[in-house]
Amino acid sequence: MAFKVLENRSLNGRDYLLKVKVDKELILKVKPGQFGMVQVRPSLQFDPLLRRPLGIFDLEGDSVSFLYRVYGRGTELLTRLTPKEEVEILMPLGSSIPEKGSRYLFIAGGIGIGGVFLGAKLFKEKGKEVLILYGERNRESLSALSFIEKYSIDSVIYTEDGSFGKKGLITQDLSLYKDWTWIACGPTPMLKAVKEIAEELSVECYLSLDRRMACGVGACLGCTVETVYGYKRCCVEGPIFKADEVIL
Amino acid sequence: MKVELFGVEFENPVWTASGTFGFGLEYSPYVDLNKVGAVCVKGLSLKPREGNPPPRIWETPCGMLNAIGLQNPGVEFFIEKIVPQLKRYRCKVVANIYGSSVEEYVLVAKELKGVEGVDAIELNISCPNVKKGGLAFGVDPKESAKLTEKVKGATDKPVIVKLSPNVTDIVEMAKSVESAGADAVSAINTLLGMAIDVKKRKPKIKNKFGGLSGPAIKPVAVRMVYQVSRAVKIPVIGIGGISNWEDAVEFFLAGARAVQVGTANFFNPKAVEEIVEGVKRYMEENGFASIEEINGALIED
Ligand SMILES: Cc1cc2nc3c(=O)[nH]c(=O)nc-3n(C[C@H](O)[C@H](O)[C@H](O)COP(=O)(O)O)c2cc1C
Ligand code: FES
Repeated sequence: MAFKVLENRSLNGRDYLLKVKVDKELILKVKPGQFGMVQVRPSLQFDPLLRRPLGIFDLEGDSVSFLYRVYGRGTELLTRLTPKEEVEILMPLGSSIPEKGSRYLFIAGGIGIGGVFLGAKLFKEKGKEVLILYGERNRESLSALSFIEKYSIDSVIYTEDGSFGKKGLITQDLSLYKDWTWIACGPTPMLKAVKEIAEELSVECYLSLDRRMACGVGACLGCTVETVYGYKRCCVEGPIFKADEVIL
Repeated sequence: MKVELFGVEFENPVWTASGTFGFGLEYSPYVDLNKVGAVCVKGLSLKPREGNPPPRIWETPCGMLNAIGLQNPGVEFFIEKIVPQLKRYRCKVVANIYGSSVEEYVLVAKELKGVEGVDAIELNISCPNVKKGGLAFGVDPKESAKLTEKVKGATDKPVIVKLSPNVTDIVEMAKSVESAGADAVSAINTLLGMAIDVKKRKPKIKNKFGGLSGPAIKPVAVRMVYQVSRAVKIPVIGIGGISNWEDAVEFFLAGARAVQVGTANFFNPKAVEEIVEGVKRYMEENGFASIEEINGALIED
C-alpha cells in the first residue's frame, strides 16, 4: 500500500521520524510491538532491493510514525523522502506485546526505543503502570526524549558517559523491578543481559527482536530466530518473543 | 489470458516461484490469489525439515542471496492442512518437491498421487543450499534423467523439472530430462554465490554459499530460457529476476510459455497482478492473441 508522507525529519542528524497518513481502520488494527516493511528504493530502481522492517513508533489521529536510525544505504535513501511523496509500506505486521500485565517496564537500548515506545504510550492510556528505561551513549543520541516528555511517560534515562540522566548501563538497576513485566528492545548484547537477569529473578520478560527480512509476511523463511522450540520466523511469530524461549 | 500447458488450463501464464511466496496463504491478505496463474509452493520433502542455521539471507546489488535450506513442514502436512485452503482459490497449485535420494523424491511424488487440488509437480533438482540431493541431481544429465523417469512412473501428475543455472551446459540437461519424460522444464533456479563481511572477515550467510536471485540474474536467465526453448519441444517456464511486465515479455520473446515471479514478490507483493495487467495490455497493443505468438515474434538477423 502507498501512503502519503506527512513528515520525514531529522531528530539529531542520525535518527529520523517518518510520519505517514493512514486511514482510521488501519490505526485500529495496529497493536504495540508490530512493524511495517518500508520501501526504501526509489520506484523503478532495484537497488537497494528489499524493504526495511521498521517498528511502528507512534499513532496519532490519522498518522503512523516510524523512528529510524541511518545505518546504511537503505536508511540513508529513506531520509530523502519528502512530504507529499508516497511511500510503499506493508503494515501492521508481526506479533505484539501481551497486554495481560498491570505494571510494565520498557527497557529501550538506543534506537530500540522505536520498538517499545508505542507499548508504553498505549498501556499508560489504558491505565497500566508504565516506566521506560531508556539508555544511550550520550545526551545527543537520546532522539526520542521529547516524545517521552510529550506524553508524560515516567522514565529513567541512562547515558554511558553521564552527559544526561544516570551514568551507566540500562541493565544496572533491573533488580529493582522484580514484580513488573519487562519488554526489552535494543542491541543483542543488551538483550542477552536482560534475558539473563530476567531468568535469574524469574521475571516475565519479552524481547523485541530485529532480523534481516525479505518478505515480512512469513513466506521466505529468511528471518529465522532460534528458540527452544526450533526455528521461528521473526516476522510472524515475532518480533515480540518470550525471553526464556529464544536462544540468543 | 488463459494458457494450457501439459493438459492443465491456467488462468494466466504468470505464476509465483517456489520459496518466494510460501504456500500462497501468507500473501493472501495482500494479493488476490485468484489473479495468480499458479502458486509453486515452497519445496516439500518427505519429512519436515528445519532448514539451515541463520543468518540465511543477504541483500546484494539488485538481488539477494539465500540459504534457507528447504525448511518445510513436510508433504503430509501440506496435503492435509494447506491444500484444502488453497482449493478455495482459482490459482493452480504446483507442488515443488525435493528429496535427498531418488527414493525420497519418488516417495514424495507418491504421496501427492491422486491428491485433488495439486495440479502439477515441479522437481527441484537445482537447490544449491542443501548438502545431499538437490543440486547433485541437477548437474548430471544422466542422474537427472533417471530421477525424472522414476518420478514420472510414480505419479499421475504432470512433471516440471526445474533446472539449475550452475551447469556448463543447460541445454544438455534440458534435453536429457525431456527424453526421460518431463512434461515441461522451468529455468532458472538461483545462481550459487557468496558474500563476505570485511569487518568480521566472515561469510555473510552462515551456510557460506547462498543462491543469488532477483533482477541481477535476469540476463543469465533470459539467455538460458532462449537456448533451452530452442532445443526442446516441451514447454519452458521462465524464471529469474522477473519484476515487471516488460521482464515477463522479455522471457516470452525468449521462448517461455509461462513465467514465475520470485524475489519481486518480496519487494512488491502486487508484482504478479501488475505483470498480468501489463502483459494483457502489451498483447492488445501489439496484436498478439496468445503467448505462443509472442514466443515466435523475436526478430533475429
Ligand atoms: C528465499 C528463496 C527461497 C527459495 N526456495 C526455493 C525452493 O524451495 N525450491 C525451488 O525450487 N526454488 C526455490 N527458490 C528459487 C526460486 O524459485 C527462483 O527459481 C529463483 O529465486 C529465481 O527467480 P527470482 O529471481 O524471480 O527470485 C528460492 C528462492 C528464494 C529467493
Ligand atoms: S522475512 Fe520472510 S519469513 Fe520473515
